[in-house]
Amino acid sequence: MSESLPPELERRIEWLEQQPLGPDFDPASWMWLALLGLVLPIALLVIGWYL
Amino acid sequence: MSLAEGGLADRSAWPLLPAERTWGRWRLAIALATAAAATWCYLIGEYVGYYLNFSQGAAALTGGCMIGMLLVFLAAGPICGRYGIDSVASTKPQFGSAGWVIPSLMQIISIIGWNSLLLIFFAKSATQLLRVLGLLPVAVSGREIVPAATLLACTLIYFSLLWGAKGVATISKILVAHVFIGLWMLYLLLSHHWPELSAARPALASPDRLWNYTTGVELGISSTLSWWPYVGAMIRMAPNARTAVLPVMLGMGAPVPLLSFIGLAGVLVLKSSDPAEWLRTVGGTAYAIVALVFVGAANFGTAITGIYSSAIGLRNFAALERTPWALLLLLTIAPVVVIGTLIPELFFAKFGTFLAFLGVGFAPLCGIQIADYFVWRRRRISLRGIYERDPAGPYAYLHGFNPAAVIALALGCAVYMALLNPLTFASHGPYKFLTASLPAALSAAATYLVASRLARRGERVPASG
Repeated sequence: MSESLPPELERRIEWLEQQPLGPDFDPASWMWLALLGLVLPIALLVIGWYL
Repeated sequence: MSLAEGGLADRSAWPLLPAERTWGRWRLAIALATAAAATWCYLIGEYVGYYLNFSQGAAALTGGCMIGMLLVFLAAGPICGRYGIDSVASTKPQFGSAGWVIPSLMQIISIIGWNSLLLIFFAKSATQLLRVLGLLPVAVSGREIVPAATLLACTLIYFSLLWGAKGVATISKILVAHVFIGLWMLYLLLSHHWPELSAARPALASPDRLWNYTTGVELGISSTLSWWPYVGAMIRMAPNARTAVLPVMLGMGAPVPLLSFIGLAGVLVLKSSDPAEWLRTVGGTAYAIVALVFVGAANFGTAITGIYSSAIGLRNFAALERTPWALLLLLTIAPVVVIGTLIPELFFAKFGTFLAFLGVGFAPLCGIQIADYFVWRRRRISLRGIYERDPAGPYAYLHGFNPAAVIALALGCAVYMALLNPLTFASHGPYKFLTASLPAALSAAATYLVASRLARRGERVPASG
């Protein structure tokens, strides 16, 4: 049996569904994520190995 | 009165509207940095210092923490940032309209456990501080003061959080200063003890150099993976996922390794990761007081974020959806009060074991979320489906549970445990080449995708007979 959503939640979902959703990450975000989450740590790990 | 009209949306698990998501990069970074910097940093550094020298330990910790942060952010960040929801709500597409209780329980136990530890630490620091300042009679023992100090901290947190996310932001703005005090303490240690530090050798290092290094990386990764329960409730206050990238990667990812260096350096040179102990040797009582204030502030800031995140997570339970915020906070903080006042020493001695095993679950959880969002659903989530309890809803699966996610989580945990025992650090197989967290996340992600594909194929094939 389905339950109806509370009116305020329903209003929020409806409002958000009507808005165009932008992308989660843009190219700059991906660049930062790749740099700080992959390139920098891998470089650090390689350098650290030789210390 | 609606939530929006009352400005109470930040106290619900419902999606936030753009007008309510007012935290810019700096405010988010400050809140995350305050949350990240706590006593666990010394413990992380201490453990790394058992296996690696300072330079290698610093590199392994920093690299590991940044990789762990990337996993956490790619798992919860896009969904929480895009739809303004918390970490627990973000698991409903993968685990199902009822199965989300599994990650929710992981969050609740993890946050309650960590917060109890942090607030007991806070109480112990406060007791030490009173003793150093000569305000505590010699006849009064720490055992009598710690429960009272824990209760006081819980009361302060409770009243701060009555303001919801605003309370978190306000306290963070004040307490963020402790991050800089921590960096100053690190500078003191490096400048006073560099010759000994550079020559210091780790006490428990294995003869296998690669094993030691991998263990340093693993400690960094697994430590930051335990931030999964916290990030969603913070990220959703920012306008979008893009705004959260730098605050998460730098505001949360950088303070942990930097402050862990304090514990790393402390254990290598002075055989103690407790800054209050070694700062006394560097600068006398005045420095010890600074360190104790630092430890207290650090743990208080993290506990505030933890209790807030946990309360928001609890809102996902239908029974607690409309519970008054003050009562929900009370329910969230009550277990911490009970543990901190009645069984602080017992908890200290035993609960670390449970937390070590609990942390094992966050690597596969992140793997499942990343595989689901980026590969399986190609970045399309039904917001309505997250909140619907309709048996025909998009995330109803099998009685509300997605078998693919449950199997993948179990298999990911098994892979982790097969590679590394988080308590004894006894390792097996290719651990020293791969770490334990990364294969656990990867195997869970692969299992989830294969199981989801099989389930979809099963739905298409009509039952014979």
